[in-house]
Amino acid sequence: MSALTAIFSMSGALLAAALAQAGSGAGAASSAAAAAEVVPAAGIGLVHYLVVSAMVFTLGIAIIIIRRNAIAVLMGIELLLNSAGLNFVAFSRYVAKDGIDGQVVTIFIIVLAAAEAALALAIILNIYNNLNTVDVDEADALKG
Amino acid sequence: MTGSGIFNQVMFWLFAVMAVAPGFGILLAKDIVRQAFWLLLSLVGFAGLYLHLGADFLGFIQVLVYIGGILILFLFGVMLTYRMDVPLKEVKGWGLVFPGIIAGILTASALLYVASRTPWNAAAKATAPTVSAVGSRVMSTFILPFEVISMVLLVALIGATYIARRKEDKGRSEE
Amino acid sequence: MTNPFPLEEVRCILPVLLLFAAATAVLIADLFLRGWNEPASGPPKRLLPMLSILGAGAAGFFLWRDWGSAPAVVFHGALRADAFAHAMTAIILLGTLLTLVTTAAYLRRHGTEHGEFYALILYAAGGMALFAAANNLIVLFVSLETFSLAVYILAGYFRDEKRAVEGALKYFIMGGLASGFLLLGLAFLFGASGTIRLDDLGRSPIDQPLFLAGLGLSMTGFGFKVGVFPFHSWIPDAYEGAPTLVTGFMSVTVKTAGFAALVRFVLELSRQAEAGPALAQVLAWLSAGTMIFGNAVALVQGSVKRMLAYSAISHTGYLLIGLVAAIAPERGGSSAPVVFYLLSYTLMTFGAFAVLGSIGQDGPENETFEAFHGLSQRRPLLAFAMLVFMISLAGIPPTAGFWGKLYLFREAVYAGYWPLALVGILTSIVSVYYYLRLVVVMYMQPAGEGASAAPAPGWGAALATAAAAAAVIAIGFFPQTLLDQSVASIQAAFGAR
Repeated sequence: MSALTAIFSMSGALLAAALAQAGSGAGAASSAAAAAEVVPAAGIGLVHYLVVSAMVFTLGIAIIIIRRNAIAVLMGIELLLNSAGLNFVAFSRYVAKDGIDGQVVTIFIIVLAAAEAALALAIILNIYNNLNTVDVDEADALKG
Repeated sequence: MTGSGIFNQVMFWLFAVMAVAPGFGILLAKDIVRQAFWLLLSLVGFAGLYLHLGADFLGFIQVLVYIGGILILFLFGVMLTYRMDVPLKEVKGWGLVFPGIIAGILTASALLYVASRTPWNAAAKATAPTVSAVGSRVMSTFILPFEVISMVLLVALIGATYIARRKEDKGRSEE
Repeated sequence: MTNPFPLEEVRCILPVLLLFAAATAVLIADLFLRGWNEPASGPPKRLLPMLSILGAGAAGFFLWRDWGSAPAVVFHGALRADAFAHAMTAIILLGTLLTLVTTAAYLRRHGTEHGEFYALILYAAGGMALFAAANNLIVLFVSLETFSLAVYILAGYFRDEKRAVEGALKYFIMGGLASGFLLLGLAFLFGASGTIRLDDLGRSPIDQPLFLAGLGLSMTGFGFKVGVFPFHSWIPDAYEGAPTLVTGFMSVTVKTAGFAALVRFVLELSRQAEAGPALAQVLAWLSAGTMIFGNAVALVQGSVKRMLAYSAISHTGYLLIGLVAAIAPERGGSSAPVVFYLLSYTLMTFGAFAVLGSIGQDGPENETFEAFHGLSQRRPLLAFAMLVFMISLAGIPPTAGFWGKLYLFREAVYAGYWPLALVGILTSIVSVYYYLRLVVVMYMQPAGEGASAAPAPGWGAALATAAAAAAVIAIGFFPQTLLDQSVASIQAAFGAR
């Protein structure tokens, strides 16, 4: 099962990488005449940030699905939040009326991520302490 | 900062690789400590991307709060549970694969759609130091979520101390 | 510069402020009472539930005073205090009050009565009330995290029990995944329109592909939260692991808050002409899938708690019908039945969990169907209340659940989605089997080996259960007033829909 999901998420990430090429190429080709003086064809634009964000998001999901250690899964969640935050800042800079709203959103996201991480680590510590007192093989009281 | 300069492009690609590549590290690393340091690298990459986008205050917040706070928290977690993994046997399993695949397809197709349909040459706005702008925005438009977030932190504080507290004696509540 | 925190707008969030204040007061009172709690359940400890009930009651009072006031967008567009938000806050407060009244004796029975429990319930309720009124993407996310974090802890409240804490961790991870999807979706919506205000999102010019991508991703996030079919996998485990009454609180209030935000979100965003029909189509499929899956799996459960968990999933499917009807292209339907259904759902589901929590200590042995054998002889009133809740959940007249389903199916037909109504009726018929199985076991089987001890439920639990059962029957006989209120709340908030 993890092999399957690994293949799937790798292909997702690779797809994102391929899109980076296609997206920048197509965008530059279609409206190069109109906007050539604004952003040179080889410059860094919105699509680059979106692709970085999408790749990190895909990787985050892959980590959540594949890794079995609770702390690693938590790291996956942190990556998800970070990729969303990057999107907010990038859109804020390229699309929104002024560039501040998205930055404020991302600051809020960082604070919430801190709160989530503290809580999750407390739950994990609790499980770990319970594990120490009982048999590891019985670590799943719940049935799937 | 965004634009044509070779230096800027090099910086972008450096930070982008720094943000993305550690994801594979976390995915594949055998050791939880290594994963934590991969995460550190990724977060630094994100901070760099924020700076590259002209969000200077946010970049420093990312370094201070995420790397200085959250990552240290992770390392504490790693240290405290170092003797064995906290396994998640039952969170895994086929129950997650289906939504995971749907979710992944959604993400990928959303990206495909977006990348193919959007005119990508939207002009970037000029950048300026953002500290005072962000500060006054938080204190005006976003005053309500700013106040509510204090409640979130309080809830997390109460909850973390409650859940992680030692086992209580039967018959009486804790001292 | 304008006043950043206009005091005259505080009136609109007074219920929320009172809930937060009561929660903090409970925490402080708990600190002072700690040195003074011999015996553990003496009068001082009784103060905490009293204080929290008082806080929730005061919030309800100020909500009632504001009832029917004109819609107002307050705090720089952060919140929209309208009739729909009021109605949803009222349902959330009802669930909260039922929980607070029921739990004191239950916690004492399990020897874990701490001030944190009441405080977290109140913090969660405050966050949900904000979530129901959120009008910008930040408030939406911040209030979501407020109540989610509180509910994660409540799910693991029995911190020495392995299944509780593991259930909490699973819930947390799935919740984190949901937050990630929701947040990425919100980022795309922000990118598509350049605004973070929900009411502007539906009206401003948008970038089509980005908007649809954001809509899809954020609907996935909401889907995880309310337990729509392909994203439901955390529900049975989290529901089974949590303390029974917390499960009741979760299944009732989290679903109400989730649907409150979902209805607002979907109705505002479907003002964009291209978004509505596509969204209706997707939601219709999700709704049908959720109804079929939830009811089919509930059939084969051996544990009453898991059966109720899958039944909660199936009810999410029924509720989605209301959303589909409201945004269907023909625009004949309304989402008013969602309000009605959420109220009946709150009463009957919390009542069922309250009975389950009353028949014995928490644990797998008291959650089997065998534990209910012969309950009608041991606790006739409790068994009768359970009978009322079960026939209401199954949608048999004359109960609130019957009218709720009827109104939902009727709206589906009005909106031209009659196959959806057909699926709803067929799955309801299937659900009669597993709900009435419990009734048969209670009334026709003699108490056997595994029968529960069924201790005296305590006055609080008895009061809440009786009130819920009475309300279910009363709504069953007089549904019209409530339906009028639901229609009025939707119309006052969103116009015709």
